Amino acid sequence: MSLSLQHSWGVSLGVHLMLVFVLLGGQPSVLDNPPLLPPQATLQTARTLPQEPLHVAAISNAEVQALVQRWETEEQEQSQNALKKTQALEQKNKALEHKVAEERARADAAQKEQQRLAQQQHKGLAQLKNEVEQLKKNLVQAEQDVAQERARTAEEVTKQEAAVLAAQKDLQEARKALSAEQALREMMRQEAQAKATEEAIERTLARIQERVSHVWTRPVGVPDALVCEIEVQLNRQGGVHAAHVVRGSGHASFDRSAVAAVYEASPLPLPETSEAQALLQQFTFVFEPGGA
Amino acid sequence: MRIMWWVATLWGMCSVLGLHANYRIAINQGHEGAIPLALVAWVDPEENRLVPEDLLGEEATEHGSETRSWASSLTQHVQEALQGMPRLAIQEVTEHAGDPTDWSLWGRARRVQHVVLLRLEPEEDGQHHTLRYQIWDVFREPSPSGLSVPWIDKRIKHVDLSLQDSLSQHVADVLHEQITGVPGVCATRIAYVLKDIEEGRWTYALNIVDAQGKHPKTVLKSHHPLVSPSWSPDGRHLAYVSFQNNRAELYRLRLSDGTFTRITHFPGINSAPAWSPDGRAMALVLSKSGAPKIYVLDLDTHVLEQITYGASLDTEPSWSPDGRSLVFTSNRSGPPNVYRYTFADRVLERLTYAPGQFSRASYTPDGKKLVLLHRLASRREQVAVLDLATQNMLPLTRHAQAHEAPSVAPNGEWVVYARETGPRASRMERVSLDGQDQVHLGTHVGWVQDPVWSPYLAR
Repeated sequence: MSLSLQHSWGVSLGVHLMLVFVLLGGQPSVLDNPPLLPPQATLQTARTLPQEPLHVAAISNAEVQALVQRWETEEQEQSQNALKKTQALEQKNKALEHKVAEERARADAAQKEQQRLAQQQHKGLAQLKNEVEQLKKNLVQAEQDVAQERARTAEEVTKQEAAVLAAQKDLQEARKALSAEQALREMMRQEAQAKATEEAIERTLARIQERVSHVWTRPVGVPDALVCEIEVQLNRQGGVHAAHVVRGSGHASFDRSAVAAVYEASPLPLPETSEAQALLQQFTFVFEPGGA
Repeated sequence: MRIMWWVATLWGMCSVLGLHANYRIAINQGHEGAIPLALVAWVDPEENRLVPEDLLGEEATEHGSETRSWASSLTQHVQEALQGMPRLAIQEVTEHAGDPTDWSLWGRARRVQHVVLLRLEPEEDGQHHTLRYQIWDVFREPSPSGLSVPWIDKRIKHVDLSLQDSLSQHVADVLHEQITGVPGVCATRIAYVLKDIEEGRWTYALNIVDAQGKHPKTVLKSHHPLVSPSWSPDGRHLAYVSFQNNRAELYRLRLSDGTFTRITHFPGINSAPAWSPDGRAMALVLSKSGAPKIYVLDLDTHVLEQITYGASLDTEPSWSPDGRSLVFTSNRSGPPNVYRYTFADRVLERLTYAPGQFSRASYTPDGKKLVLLHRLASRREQVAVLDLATQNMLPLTRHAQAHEAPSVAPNGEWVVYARETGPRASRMERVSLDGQDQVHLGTHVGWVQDPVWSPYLAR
């Protein structure tokens, strides 16, 4: 658009320049012809021209006659000539005038054309200008729009980027939360399992306690204040693999009775789950008749 | 949450590493009872050839009598010696011949804690025999080689095959001490006076029986009253009060040959002899200066020291196990009560305060309790144990009949006493110090008086 504008701008400029040139620079070609003067002025000039030799004194009649004659002739001739010349000139003038008129008409026409053209041009230019302006405006507007749009877009982008970032952050948070939740859930599952295991163990411990208490025969006449700790290792079937006195009561027969009770109770009840079983592979009996 | 996470992680790590919490199971219940054991006679096919026939036991069977091996017979005797001993329960008595066996497994299968193996082994000289006894703790860890080994493996060399009774009692005591931690009293004796009418006359016999009340042996017999026998600490003598000269005099009887010597014959009463724990002195009661008073006689120097004074009746002295004090019965504050005299500071203190009358006090071997007779308002006497520290008193007998003369076994587990069963009739009974086990000892018919338990006797 701007290019076409520039082009038309250039064209109009060229046309103007041409017109100026025709109007100014084109004169010499027109003035190659005789000066465009009015005919009276030309005549006056011709009359005044012989006055200058009148400054010479003492000239004879004949001579004067002759001279007058000659002058007359000459004058005649000259007048003739002058007439002729004038006529020619007039004709020429007339031609010139005609030509000028033509030229003038042509120039007028041209001018008019020019004017028209110019007008047209002007008009077009203005229009163009307008258009250009409009376009410019449009352009500016567009640019503004674009800028605005761009700004808006940038803003939008920023916003969106922020949103994306936020979303990413959210996602990250969510992921974190999810993993934390998963971890928590896993932990809760483990805890639940551990709790279940613990409960299974507790139940089994109670059964073991009952069983061992049932078979334990402590020696007659030993004091109640004795305490004996026995570490027990079980095999997979709950059989007592080993029973060691880890803290003796100081009363050998009491300790032996405790060991005997542990073996006597073998195989001991096992918890249901393998986890609990694994945890109950080894534990300690505290034989304490004076205890709770 | 982070902490929980750490805890969970730690817990996980711990369980992976096997460092889990060590569960503890408290066993507070259970019941008191005898330790179960099995007695096995390891019979050597050669044995019967080695042992004279008259030393082999006989057993009545459907088809007549059957001769048992010496080891079997000994085992039977050990079982008898331990009968009624509440700490041990013999579940099985059997013979074993042939190849050795894993007695731990054997015992576990029979639900006993111990297996006792008795075996008679000929010695190299071809004349003597060694009694080998093994005690197996069936729950004992096997040896590093994986073999189960006896817990105790001992030999008694040069055994006298004719003394099966005393051997069995000795073995029974060893078993009792090894297995229960408390010395057995199977080889101890109880002396008592049996009053009976023989040929129309009152006859007094100083008898000795074993701890089961069996195998009575009369060491002295008299038509005059015999009272208050007292063992010397070495078990070789008995002091007693004899009325053979129509008054109470103190005598000492040597058990090895039955000879007796008079210790004191002061004017008045000479009674209630009590040997000091070191055997060098004797506490006694003399009334040479009026009322019966406690004296201590130095048996080496014959120096007599008067312990109590006054007009009250003081009698029945008994030594504390450490020999530093005496307890005795006195009516110095009214009804009979038990008092203590301490030699070092010559302090006399009353030990019994409960209602009723107290007499015949003697210390338990740990010196912490007194066994005594408690006469209630009903005039019935009961044997009781008084804890000196707490003043708690535990009655050991609850029969309506009268009781008398409690005497404590040297292991402090038993009290022997006489219990009146009718007019002019009484019998000997044994009760555990907690009052739980009470048995009638012996099958004597008559009037049992003053049973007194011996100290541990040298084999």
